[in-house]
Amino acid sequence: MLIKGVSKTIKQKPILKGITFEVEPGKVTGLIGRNGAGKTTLLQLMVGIITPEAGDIQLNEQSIYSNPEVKQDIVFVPDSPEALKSYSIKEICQLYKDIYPKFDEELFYSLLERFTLPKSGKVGSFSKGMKALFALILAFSTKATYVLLDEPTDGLDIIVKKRILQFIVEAVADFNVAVVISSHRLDELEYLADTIIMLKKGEVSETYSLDTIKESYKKVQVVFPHGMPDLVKKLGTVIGETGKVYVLIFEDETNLGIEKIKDAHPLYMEELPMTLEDLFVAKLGGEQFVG
Amino acid sequence: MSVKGLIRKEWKQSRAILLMIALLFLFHFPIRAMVSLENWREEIRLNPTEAMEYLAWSVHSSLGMSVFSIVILILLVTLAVQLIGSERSTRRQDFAFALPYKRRTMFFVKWVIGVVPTSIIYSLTFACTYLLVNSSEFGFHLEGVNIAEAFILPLLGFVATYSFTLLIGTITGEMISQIALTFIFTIFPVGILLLLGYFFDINFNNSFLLGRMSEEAARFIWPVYTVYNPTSAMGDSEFMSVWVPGVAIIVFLVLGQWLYERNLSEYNGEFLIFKQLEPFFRVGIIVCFALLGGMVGSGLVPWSLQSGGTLMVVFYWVGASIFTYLSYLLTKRLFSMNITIKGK
Repeated sequence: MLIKGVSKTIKQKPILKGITFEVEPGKVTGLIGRNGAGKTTLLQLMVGIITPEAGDIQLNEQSIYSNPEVKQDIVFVPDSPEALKSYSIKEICQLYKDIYPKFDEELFYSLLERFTLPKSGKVGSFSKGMKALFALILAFSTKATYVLLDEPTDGLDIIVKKRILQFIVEAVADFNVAVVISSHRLDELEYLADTIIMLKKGEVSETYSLDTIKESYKKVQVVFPHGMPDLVKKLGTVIGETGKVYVLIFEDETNLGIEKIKDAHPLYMEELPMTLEDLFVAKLGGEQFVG
Repeated sequence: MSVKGLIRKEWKQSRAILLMIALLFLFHFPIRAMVSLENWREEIRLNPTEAMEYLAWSVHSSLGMSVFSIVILILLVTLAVQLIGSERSTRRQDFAFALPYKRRTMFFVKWVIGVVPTSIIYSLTFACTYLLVNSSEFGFHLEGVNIAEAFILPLLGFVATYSFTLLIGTITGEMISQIALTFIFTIFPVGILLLLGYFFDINFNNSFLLGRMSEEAARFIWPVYTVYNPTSAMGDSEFMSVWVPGVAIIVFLVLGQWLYERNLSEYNGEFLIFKQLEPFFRVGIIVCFALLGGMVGSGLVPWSLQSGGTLMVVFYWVGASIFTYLSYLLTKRLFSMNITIKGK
């Protein structure tokens, strides 16, 4: 799936500007960014709910806008699945069989059983957690190659959350689907995602492979008796400061940065484990208020 | 690609209303006719001379409008609002637009799901009524009645009203504005002539816009065709032509598909979907309200003081000014509102 220079303006305000990236089957792509960065808008564009002013979204080199039939391979799971709440499970199953030719009824019912969800009754009577789980089961049962999830664990308790995350990991492995997740839960994305796309002010600020983040970036805690020297400050972003103790994040593939800090003679220096949250704060935390 | 899924989805949303429409057509045509047959027999038995005077009119009316026609019209508007406006207000349209179908196909299915069942049940119930009345002892009264016209004009009226409401749904962002604009634009052709006619009458003592032009404009009020009665003035085939609603239905369908394909769903919940229409609506609403305000204002002048007209003109402009200000506030609120119903 190719997202090709997509731009979107809503109420004269540019929300997305020239977004380009590719989504590959069998991988989980995490979309992160501050509130208002355009994550949900991007997911809605990727499934044709809204249309871009410029650019295109292509599946097998066919535009999803001029050939919406190709969307048989894309399923979108919104943050609150409102559309199906008046349907019974049986009706939903029938509806999805009609819409998605690859819909696997057997898999659908076996997943309902596995996650102890009712096989009859109306979806409207489900709790929020049950609805979220049900929406995921439904999406993966379509056997679509691309599953787009908008805040899939938002507002769910820890037990349901764990089940959902486990399910996503298994489904990606079992069905070789591409999952795109927009989430504020960076710890969850760290657990799930292969690639992270960071949106900042409507643009792709950075694209990371999670495997390489830990190798490319360093997080260190250092103590300088007379404040942090400018040379060290310029290396990256200070994400924490308590007295003379500083926590610093910087890009450092060749360990040159570490050497520079050592040359500045800190009283104490310790390398800390790098998390996605650290990277988020370093890259997007520059402004105090949300966009 | 098969549209079975789309039909299933729309059927789920519309079946309750369609069932009510079917029941109402049963009452509107065959049940009403059966009751009428008994009444006519009873009237002839009790008062044969008087009954014969109005029996022909009464027999013709069995194929014309009744109070059920009005309820059916309201239900058809409700159905169109359910299929577009309500979908927008409850974010169900996000689900629909994410499906692997062309938007023009989606619009066409919405049109078909209302028009086909309505036309079938209308045709069946009309045919039943015609056979019932024609095979009775009162059948001879139907001789000379243009049955084809009596059949087709109300049907076109129902379909045109439904298609028109769907079309309005493609430019409005939620259900309340769809209902409001459907009502306003339904009466608009005659309403604006009335308001302008009154304006010229009060200010320039010239009412050239009224009269024949209002009658011409009434041809574009779609529900009018549903109240067709073979014997009334409305049954005058010079006034009612199948071409006007017939062409209108095709225009509404094609234009509706074109607009639905270009719908900006990011504005769902707002008064209008197409922001470029806002200036026209702002000016249009204010002008219409000003004209209405003038009409109301001048209507407040006591009858005894109306001669001469100066006071009428003064009151007209006072009323127009007040309504202009109020409608300005209304439009400000209208174009900033967002009605989206979010679930838990």
